Amino acid sequence: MVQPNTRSSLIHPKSLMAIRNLEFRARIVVEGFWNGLHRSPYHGFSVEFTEFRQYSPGDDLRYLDWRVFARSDRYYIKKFEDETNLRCHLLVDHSKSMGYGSLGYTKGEYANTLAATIAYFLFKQGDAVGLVTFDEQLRDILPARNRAGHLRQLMLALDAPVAGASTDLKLPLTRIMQMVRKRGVVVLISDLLTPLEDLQRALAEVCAFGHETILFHVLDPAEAQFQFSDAAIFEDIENGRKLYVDPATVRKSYLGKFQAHCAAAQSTCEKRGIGYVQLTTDRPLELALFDFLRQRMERAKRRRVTAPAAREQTKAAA
Amino acid sequence: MSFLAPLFLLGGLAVALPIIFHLIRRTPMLQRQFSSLMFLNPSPPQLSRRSRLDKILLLLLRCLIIGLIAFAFARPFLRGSVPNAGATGAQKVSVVLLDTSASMRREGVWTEATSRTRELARRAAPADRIQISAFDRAVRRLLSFEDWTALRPEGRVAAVEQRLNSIGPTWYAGELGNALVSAAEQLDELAEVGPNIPKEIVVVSDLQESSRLQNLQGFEWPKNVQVSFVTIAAKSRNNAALHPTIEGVSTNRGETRPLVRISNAAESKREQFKLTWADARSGAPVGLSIDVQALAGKARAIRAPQQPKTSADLRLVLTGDEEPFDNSLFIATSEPEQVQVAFLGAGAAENDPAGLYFYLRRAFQETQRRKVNLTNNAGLSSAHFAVAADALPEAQSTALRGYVESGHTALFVVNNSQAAKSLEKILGQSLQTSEGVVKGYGMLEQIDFTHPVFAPFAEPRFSDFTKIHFWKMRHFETNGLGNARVLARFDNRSPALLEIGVGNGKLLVLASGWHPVDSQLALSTKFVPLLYSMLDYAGGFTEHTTLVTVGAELPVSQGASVQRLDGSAVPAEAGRWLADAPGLFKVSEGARSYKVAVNLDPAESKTGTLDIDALRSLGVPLHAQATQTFEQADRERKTAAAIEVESRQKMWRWVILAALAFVLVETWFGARLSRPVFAEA
Repeated sequence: MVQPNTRSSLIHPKSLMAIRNLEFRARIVVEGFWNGLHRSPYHGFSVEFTEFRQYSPGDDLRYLDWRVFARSDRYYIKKFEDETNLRCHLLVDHSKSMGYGSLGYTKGEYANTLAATIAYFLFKQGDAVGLVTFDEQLRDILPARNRAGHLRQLMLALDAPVAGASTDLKLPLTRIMQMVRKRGVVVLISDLLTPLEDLQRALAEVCAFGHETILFHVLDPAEAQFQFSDAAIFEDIENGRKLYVDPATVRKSYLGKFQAHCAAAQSTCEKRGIGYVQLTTDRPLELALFDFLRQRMERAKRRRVTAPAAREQTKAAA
Repeated sequence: MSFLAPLFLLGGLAVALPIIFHLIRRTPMLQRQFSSLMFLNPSPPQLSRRSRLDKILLLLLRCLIIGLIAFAFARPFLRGSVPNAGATGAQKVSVVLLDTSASMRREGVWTEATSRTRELARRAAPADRIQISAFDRAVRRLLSFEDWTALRPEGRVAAVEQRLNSIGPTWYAGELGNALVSAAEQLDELAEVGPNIPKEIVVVSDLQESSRLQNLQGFEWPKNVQVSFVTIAAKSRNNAALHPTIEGVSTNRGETRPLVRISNAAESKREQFKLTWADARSGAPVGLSIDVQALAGKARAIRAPQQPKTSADLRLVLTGDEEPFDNSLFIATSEPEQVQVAFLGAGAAENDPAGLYFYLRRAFQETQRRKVNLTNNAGLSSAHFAVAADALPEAQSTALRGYVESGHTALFVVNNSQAAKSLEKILGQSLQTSEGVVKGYGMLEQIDFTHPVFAPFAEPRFSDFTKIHFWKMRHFETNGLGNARVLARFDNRSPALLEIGVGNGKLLVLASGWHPVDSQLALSTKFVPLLYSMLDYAGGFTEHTTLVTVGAELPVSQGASVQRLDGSAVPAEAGRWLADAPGLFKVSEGARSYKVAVNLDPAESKTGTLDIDALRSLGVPLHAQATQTFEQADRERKTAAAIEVESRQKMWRWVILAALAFVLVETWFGARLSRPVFAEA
């Protein structure tokens, strides 16, 4: 695993969250990252290779590569630079459970900042970024574009407060897959606090469309560790259900169940070829961005292995 | 151990609060939002044994603090040292004012009042000084301070008892204001009493609403004097009263249905009464009665039933209420006075409007109080007043002179020049007379309103004589008349009415006649009053008041006697007698006699209770409990003693200090208990 040079150069999320403006937050992360890593081998990887594909009837003749035809007397379709650019859809969970946070900021804020960071990063590279926010239904849909002002709209949509009641991954994912026909990268940011079966079904659907999918599982440290000391009435933030809980007695079972849930989610992802990253909200965002890039790189490698038809022209790998 | 304010001990119930709070604390109050409960199992609350023990100690501390505070507020003291209030009671000076007004005649009131007064005397400490006075229209001292101190403490109650037995309620109206002022002044004048000794006026009265308090207005109360009231309530509040109306109960002869006023008390429950005539002495009903309805709190005027024709004295009686003391109304019906007036002179034709007699006869009509018998040239022997005119025969002139000289008064009208001659004869001296010169008409001027004849006209609205025009007059030179007084002149300076002293009597000389040839006088509104005024001047007749209220002091001439109905004499001192009870009084002045009806003061019939606030607003320094019973007073005295002992012991201070100490301990202990909790969090 590649680690950044110094830990001290990272900005702690708590300091970052003190900045109110989302776009500014994203810029700080990305620029810090950029400055630190601009000599890294991953630089520019996201500029996708341009593909030559054998012509098949029905293809647009405008895209025929006449030079190749002249040289080899074969019809090849040349995919243009812009078309092959990365289309990334950020799917951000805005359900109420994302409103929970024990560190002074919520999971939702963290997830928004993460999404904004990725969007900003990709946007800078000239990639098209789209956004879908959802809770139990779709809230905001911004198609993937790389256009002046688009980033700003995206930030505004991200900044919308969490409003929904429960998390339902399946319906929004199905809908978005129906709308986004072109294959691209789908980044799903959620706390996955939903029954496991729903999650599996939803992820299967995403994969079925051939999208490259990365799942960021955002968790609060309190959720992950359950370090409460006093007995209290715990109230479900989504449905308001109340339960008397003495943490000392239930911690063990909680952690067991929780870890099982996470493990199940991870195994599902692996099975489906989905990148799974678990993030607690105290993790610096630079590292989260780094995780994103690492996942992309790994998947690119894997694709090269699994799809030999793909041309070997990975500028990114250079 | 006793408590001054034991009700505060109820505050000790507040110990329930910490207990409840501690009970509440046992169930977690902490509520925490969490993202999802999907991984959580419910766990029943459990409490560790140790923390519970600690909190019980805290709980006990808190309960103790509350208990101590409640205990301190209840002002505890040790009863052992409370002095016996009665034995060492501080010296006190009090004046007991016992109401003896007519309203105290109501059933049960007087007995109650005397027993209360006795009780006051009985409860007095040996060092106290008490004076007992009775008041109605005036204040009478029954037992003075000197008498009280001279008596041995054991004999005081008996002395008071004896004095009380010697009096009873009178018929007078109560002058409460007067009594209070005189008692306060008396207390203020007690020189030998120190300034710190409380002075008290105790009023034993029924405190009726019409008590007279005018004297209290502006009275500056001496310091250290307090007033308290022992209010006696009558057994019955159903009281209706019978009183004369101002103009209704006149002594009109022939008026047999006088207008009377019936008032019913506001609290009265009865509204139906009967009004009947009764014998003034025995009260036995005479004749028929009529039913009268009077609403509670209202008064109404009503005509009495027909007066029965009987020679006995009568009174009106109202029946149907429960308090008979104000149910009788006495009415004096006196015969009109017989007055003899003699007319001498030629122009005495009965029906000749040109003569003087014609007008004179019509002027002296019979009135309520007076019947004038006018005789025409019939002699002067029994006449109270004589009027002469014209040229008189020699015999009449002499007779008239003799009549006046004997002390009588006569009017001589000089209606012509012959009459002037007669006047000379009567006066016994020559007069310079002449027919007066009148231009157009003459009027009266320079009228002497100080003279009794003109005194009734002295008021400006009656004093205008300019409307009376004179056509003819006789002129006199008054130089020769040494003892003549000019009462009025004509506007040509000639005397119009002269008063000339003749012997013991007086002769009034009018220089013009009243018949139409001479003047308009007979047609004027002044004519009849002027004649009556002369008649009064001549006879000295005075109008007698015939309807008064009890307590009125009436004038009476020297040597007259006043008798009650039962024949007993009423003392008349210095020309006045006092109407001391309702009834008919017969006043005999020489040959003449008249009756005076004396009725109860209407104020005494207003038996509602006086509002104590009315007294307070008049500045009366009321005792804290202005109207108190003896039980209250006793309790008060005990409380005062307890307060004194408590203020000496001041145990509450120590208890509060202890409570404060416990508060400190609790604070420290609570802080110590909660410290590890913070560390854990």
